[in-house]
Amino acid sequence: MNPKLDEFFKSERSRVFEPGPYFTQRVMARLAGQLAAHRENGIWNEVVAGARPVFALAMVLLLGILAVQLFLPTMPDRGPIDAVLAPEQTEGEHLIFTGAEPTNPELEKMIIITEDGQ
Amino acid sequence: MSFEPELVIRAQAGDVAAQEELVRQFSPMVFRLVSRFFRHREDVEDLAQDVFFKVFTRIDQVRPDENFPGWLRRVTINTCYDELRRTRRRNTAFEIYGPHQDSEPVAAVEVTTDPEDFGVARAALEALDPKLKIPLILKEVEELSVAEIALSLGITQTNVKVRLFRARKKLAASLASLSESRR
Repeated sequence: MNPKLDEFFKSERSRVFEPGPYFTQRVMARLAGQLAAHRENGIWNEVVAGARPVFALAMVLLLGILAVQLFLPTMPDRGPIDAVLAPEQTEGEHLIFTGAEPTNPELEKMIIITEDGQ
Repeated sequence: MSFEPELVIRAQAGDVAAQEELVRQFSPMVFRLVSRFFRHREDVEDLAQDVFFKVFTRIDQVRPDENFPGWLRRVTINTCYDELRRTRRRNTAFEIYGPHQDSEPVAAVEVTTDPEDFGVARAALEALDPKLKIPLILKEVEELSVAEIALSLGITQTNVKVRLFRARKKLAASLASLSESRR
């Protein structure tokens, strides 16, 4: 290497700053304040700075969906008129609950399917 | 330097006295390393504080059997690298968008005001990309081996050698052009 550069690097080796007498106290004081702030920020600090907007958007969407689920009533599958008009039990269910014998094989098959479905 | 790994375990448990002892023991090493990359005492002190803040917020990541001084050196070098990149970006932005000056470029001014006559070399070194500057300083000033530099920067030894070669080449080129502009 260039001898002048060698000289330069040698001179750089001797150029060193030493910590001042109160450096440790200053670090500890700054640490106490910043660690407290760090803990207050919690999870936010764990997220990489670049990913924070995405993370925030994901959180807003998640909370939005949860809010919709919680506060909007779910619509019933059938209305009150349908519910009145529809029979309470199917023919198969009626036979199961009353213990009557099925009158034809078709009905027996329906009962088996109903039981399997349950 | 005599160092007790138990100090790290105590610091991990939140023992303030142990943390203080770590700062006391390792601040000269951190200062020396940061001094290699920054020339003003205030910058060095601020960065050294940043290093210790990072160390204590991530101290859980250190295994008690791990080489703590080596880990601390990595954190210090990474902190310096980040700051050098930020400074470089700021300087580039200033050169592009800042007020236009008709005076001599900064490097040339430094050359004439340097008492030791190393101004040209210093300006050439300052102009290097941090990616090249850091390995070069670690090798030539800090006198670390290629293996140690690779470990500190988290890159392969081949990569370190390539960066050192490029750094020397660029340094020689900018040294030549700066010397030319000085005449």
